[in-house]
Amino acid sequence: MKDKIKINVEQEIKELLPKYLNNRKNDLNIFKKALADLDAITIEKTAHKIAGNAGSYGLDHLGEIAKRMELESHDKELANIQKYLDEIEEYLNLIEY
Amino acid sequence: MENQKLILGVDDDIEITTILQRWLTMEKHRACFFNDIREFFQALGKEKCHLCIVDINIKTLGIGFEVITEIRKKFGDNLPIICLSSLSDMKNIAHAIEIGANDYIIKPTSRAILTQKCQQLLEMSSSSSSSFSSSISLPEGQYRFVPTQFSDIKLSSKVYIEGIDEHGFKVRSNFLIQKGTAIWIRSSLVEEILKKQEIFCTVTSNWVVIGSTDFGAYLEFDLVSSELTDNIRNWIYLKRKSQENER
Repeated sequence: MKDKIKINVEQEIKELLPKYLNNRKNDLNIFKKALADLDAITIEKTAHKIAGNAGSYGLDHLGEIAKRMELESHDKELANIQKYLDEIEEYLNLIEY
Repeated sequence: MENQKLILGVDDDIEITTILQRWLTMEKHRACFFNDIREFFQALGKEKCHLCIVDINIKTLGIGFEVITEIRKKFGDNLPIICLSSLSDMKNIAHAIEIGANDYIIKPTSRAILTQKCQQLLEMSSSSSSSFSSSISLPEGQYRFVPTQFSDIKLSSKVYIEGIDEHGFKVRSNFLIQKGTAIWIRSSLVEEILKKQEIFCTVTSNWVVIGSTDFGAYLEFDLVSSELTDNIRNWIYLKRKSQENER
């Protein structure tokens, strides 16, 4: 079993994390539907937002995966997207704050 | 609190507006962020705002550039604007600065970067006088940014004059010289053209010089007299004439 990932942010930011993480779980559903529809534009747009905001919430790794998804979907390259989604899902489940 | 400065911002990403508002509130600023451009402009028109933070891609790519242009058109050059974007290429940064942004933050950002840049611009906008009352000495080296804890400082640096017109100089420098910075220019060229040893100017625009690490700036003359204008016109006229003769 993998270790939990501790997020080190100020208390005032910790208060925002439950909603933030819940929104990302909703994004996972958006990604999954878009991938099934081969909708690269939705994947790129959604990933672009996460790439721009995750680091500010102390979730640098999430931001890095999202950046890769953004760049690859921009090039209409969707072969790795499912792998990234699995990685995000696992990461979100391991977060502890 | 009466002394609190109002910061207004617009970004279509609710996660960004939420955290920026939280960070600035933690720094005791009064901040209000919007996800909608129309609501942002409504708030901007209602109360005196001291700083704006504008995302570049609000729903549509590059729409933030239009927001910056509109702010400059409606509220003039004195309201500081920080651009916030995931776009990190020099072309976008240069364009944002060219159309009137005072600074540019690349996402994802941190509390330290945001608050430091806000503080710097709020201090600059509140120190309307350009009286260089104190000076500090800095060790030798390359400096691109002025320490924010000093509002009145005196620095000297080489700039390269690239052009002149009746209103001021276009210069190139290793340093990003913030808009509103007051500068005395001393050079043999100033003596030759303006018939005086030095001239007082204010930076009215700045930009990134594409393809180099230099920055460009336009330095507007503080006082324009008919004598000054005549001297510049004469110098340009004689310069062109001598160039024609050389051909």
